[in-house]
Amino acid sequence: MNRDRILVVAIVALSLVAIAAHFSSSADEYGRDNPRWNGTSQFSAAAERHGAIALYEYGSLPGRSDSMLLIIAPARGFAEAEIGACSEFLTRGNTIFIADDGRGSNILLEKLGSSVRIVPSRLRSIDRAFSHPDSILGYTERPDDLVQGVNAVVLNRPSYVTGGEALINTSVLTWEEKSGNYEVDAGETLTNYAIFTRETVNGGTVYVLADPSIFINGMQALDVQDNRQFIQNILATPHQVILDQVHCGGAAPIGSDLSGYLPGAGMAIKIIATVCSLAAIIYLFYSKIF
Amino acid sequence: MMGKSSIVLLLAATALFIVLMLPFADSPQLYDVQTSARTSHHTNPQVFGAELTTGSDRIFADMQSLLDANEQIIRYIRAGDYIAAIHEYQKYSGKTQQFTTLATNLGLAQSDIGTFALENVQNREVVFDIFIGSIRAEQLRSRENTYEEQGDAAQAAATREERRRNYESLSAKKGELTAVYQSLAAISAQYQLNDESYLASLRAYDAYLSELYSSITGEERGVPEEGGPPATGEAGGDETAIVPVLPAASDRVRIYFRMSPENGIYGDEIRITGSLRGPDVASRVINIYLDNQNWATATTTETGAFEAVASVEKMTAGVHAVYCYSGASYSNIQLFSVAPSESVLTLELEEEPLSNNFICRGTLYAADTTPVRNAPVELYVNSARKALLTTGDDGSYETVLTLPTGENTIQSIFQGQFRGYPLDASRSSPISVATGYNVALLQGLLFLAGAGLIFYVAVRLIFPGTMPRLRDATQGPGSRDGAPALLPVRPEPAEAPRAISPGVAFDEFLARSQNNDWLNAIHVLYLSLKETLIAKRLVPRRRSLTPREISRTLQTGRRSDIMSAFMDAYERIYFGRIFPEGREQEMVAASWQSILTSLGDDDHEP
Repeated sequence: MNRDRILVVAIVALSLVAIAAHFSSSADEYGRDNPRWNGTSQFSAAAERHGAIALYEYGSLPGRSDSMLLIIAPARGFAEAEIGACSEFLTRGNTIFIADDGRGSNILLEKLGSSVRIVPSRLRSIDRAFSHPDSILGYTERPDDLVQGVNAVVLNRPSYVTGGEALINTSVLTWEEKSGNYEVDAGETLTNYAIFTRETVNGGTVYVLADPSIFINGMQALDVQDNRQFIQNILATPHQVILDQVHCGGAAPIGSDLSGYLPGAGMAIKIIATVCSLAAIIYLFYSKIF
Repeated sequence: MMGKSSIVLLLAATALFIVLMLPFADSPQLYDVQTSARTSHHTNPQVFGAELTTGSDRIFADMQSLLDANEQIIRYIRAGDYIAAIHEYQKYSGKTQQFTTLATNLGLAQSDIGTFALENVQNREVVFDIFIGSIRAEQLRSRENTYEEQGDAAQAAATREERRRNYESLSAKKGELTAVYQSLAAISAQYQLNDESYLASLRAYDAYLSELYSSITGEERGVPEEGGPPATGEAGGDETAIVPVLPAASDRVRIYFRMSPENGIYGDEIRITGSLRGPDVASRVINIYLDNQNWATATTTETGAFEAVASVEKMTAGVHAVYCYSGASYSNIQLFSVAPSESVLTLELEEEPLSNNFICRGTLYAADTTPVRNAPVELYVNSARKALLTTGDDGSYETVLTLPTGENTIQSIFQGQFRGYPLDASRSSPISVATGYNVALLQGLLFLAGAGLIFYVAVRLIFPGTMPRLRDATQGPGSRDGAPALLPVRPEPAEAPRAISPGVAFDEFLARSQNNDWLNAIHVLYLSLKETLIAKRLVPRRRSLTPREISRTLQTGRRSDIMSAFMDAYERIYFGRIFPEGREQEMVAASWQSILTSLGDDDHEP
C-alpha cells in the first residue's frame, strides 16, 4: 500500500470514528465512567477513595452487615431474586439508599414493604439557588446523620416522595408544575414537598432521595449551599458503602455527543468530522486511487 | 465504475453535511452550550445562571412589613400629624406596589400569596380613604369653630351635621378594615406571620373614632361590637402615650395656596398660586408636594406671592393630598383628584435583513394626543415577556428583539394604573410574524457554500497533485525514446503567424525553417491546412478545434496515412519541441503537400 492509500485510509477512518462518535450515545446518564456533566465519575471516584465497593452481582449481597447499598438512578427493574437479596440485606440492619426521580424504584420499595413512593413530577419553587427554575432548594427538616451540618441543598429538577420521615423538604412556596407556564394556577398548590425521606423497613433503614442529579459531575462543581456536606455525609458514613452497578446505565441523554469531552466544541467536532469526510471523498474522486 | 461510486459517496457526504447543518440553520447559534445542556432528568448546572437572592425569606419579610404598615399610619392620623401620615402611607404604597409586582413576576398571582397581595391593595385603599376622611374631619372641625366664633349658629349646625356624616363614613371604614384583616389573618397564619401590629392598628383606629365621636357630640362613644377588634379601652396605655406631632406652625410665616383646577387627567397642567404671610417672605423657595413627592417648586416675589404649574403625570388615579412648605412652615392641605383616562399603545415591526432580529417600535399616548413619557412598556413574544422598555419624551419606544424560529406573536402592553399611572391599561394590536427558518436556512446555506470553498482551497493546497492533470507525456505525441515531453507551453513567436493561402504558407515555412524558427514554421503549415479544411467544410470553424480532430477528418485510404504523418510531425515539433533534422524537413513539407494535393487544392504550388 503506497503512501497515498495510507493517507486516504487514515482520513476515512478518522472521519468514520468522528461521525460514529457523533451519532452514538456512548455517555451513559449517571454512568460512573461518564466524565461529562451528566455522569457520576467524580462521585464514583470519591466513593472509591472512601473505600466504597462496586456491586456487580446481587447474589453477593446476602450475608453482609454494617453496609449501605447505594442505588443511583436505576435504569432497569429489579428481579425477584434481587428484591429478595435486598430484603435479606435489610433484615441484617443494613441500609439501602435509593436516589431516583422516576417510578423505577417504586416496585422495589413496595416489595420491600416500604411506604415510601417516588412521584415523578416537575417541581417549581420560589426558593431557588439560581435563576434557572430547575435549581430549587431543599431544606433540612429533621436531624439525621446524613443531613448533619446540612441546612439547604441545591436540587436539579427533582421529583418528590411520599411516606416515611421527611429529612429534606422544599420550602412552602413550592408547587407541582402542571400547566407548564411557570406560574401557580388553579390546581397547583403551594406546599412543602418531601425530597429525602427515611423509613425503617425489616429492621433496616431505607433512605429515598427524589433527586439523583445531586450525584452528577455538574452538580459536584457547584459551590453553593450544602451539597458538598451532604455528599460527604453519605461517603463518610461508618457503614461499608456498596455502589450498585447492576441497575445503573441510565436513559439516553438528549443531545449526547462529543461535546462532553471538549466542552463548547461540539459543533466544531461535527464540522471537522464532516470536513474530513468530504476531503477524503474529494481526494478519492480526483485521485482515482482505487 | 469508480467514478460513479465516487459521486455516490460525494452525494452521501454532502447529504450528511446538510443533515448535520440543518439544526444549526434552524438555530444559528453554532456554539450554544444549550445544545447539550439538558437531559430528561436534569439540567447542566453550567446554565443555571445567576444566583438568586429572592426567595421565600424576602417574600415573607415583605408580607410582614405590609401587615405592620397600618399601625403607624393610623397612629399619625390619630395624632393629627397628617404630613407624617402621608409620608408613611406613601412608603406603604410603594411597598405594596413592589410586592404585587414581585408576586406577579414570580408566578404567584393566583396563589395565596397573590390573594394576600390583592387584599393588601384593598387595605391600602381603605387606609387612604381613612386618611382623606380624617383630613376632611379636621377641616370641618376648623370650619365649625370658625362659624361658632362668628356666631353663625346655622352654618355651625350645618357643618356639624356634615361632620356627623363624615364620621359615619369613617366608621364604615372600620368594617372594611376588619374584613380585610380577616382575609389577611388567614393567610398570615398559614405562613406563620405575626398580625399583632395589624390588630394594634385596629385598636388605634377605634380610639381615633371614639375621640372623633366625642369631639362631634361631646359624648363618649360606646365599645365596639362583640366579636370585632378590641375596643379603645383594650388598647391599654399604649394609645394614650401617643404625642401629637403636628408640624410646628411658624409664628412668623404662614403659607396659603390654591389650585386650579382641583381635578384633572393625565397630561393636564395645574396652576398653583399662593402666598407667604409674615416677615421676610421675599425670594423664598416653596416646595409643593403631592402626597410625599415633590411635585413642583416656586419662588416667592417680594410680596410673598408664588405661582407654579404642575403636570399630571405618573400618579395613581384617585384623591391626593397637596401641600406646600418652606423651611419649617407648612401650608394647609388641599385635596386633588385625578381621574383615569384612556391610553393608546401602538407597535410596529421592522425586520433586519438576514437575521431573526426585528426592530420593535411604537408610541404610547394618553387620550390619543398626549405622549406618555418615561412609562414602562412591556414587549411580549408568544405570551412571554421579553423586554421592559421606557418611553421617551415623545411617548415613543424602540428596541431590537431576536425572535425564535417559527410563528411568533408580538404584542406590547402598558399596565396603566397597575404601574401607578392615571391611565387605563392598553395593548397594541398583536402582530404575527413567521421567522427564523428562511433567514437561518440562508445562513446555513451560506455556511455550506463557505465550507465548500474551504474544502476546495484546502484540497488544492494540500493535495495539489490530486487535481485534474494531463496524462504522462511518455504516452502522448511528442515523446521520443520514452522520454517525457515537456508540458505544453504555448509558443511565443516574435511575429505571430496568420492563416494564409497554401502557396504563401509554404514560402513562409521555408523562410522560418531556414532561420530555425521551427515552432512558427510548422504552425504556419498547420494553420493553412486548417483553413483549407474549414473552407471545404470538412471541419467546423471553432476555436477549440484540436490537431487530433483535424487528423480524424481524413480517416480512410492513403489520405489518412499522410494526414497522420503530418499531424504527428506537427505535434512533435509544436508541442514536443523536437525539431526535425536533415531529410525530416523535406518529409514534413512533402506530407503537407500531399494532403493539399489530395484535397484538390488548385492554389497549391509545389
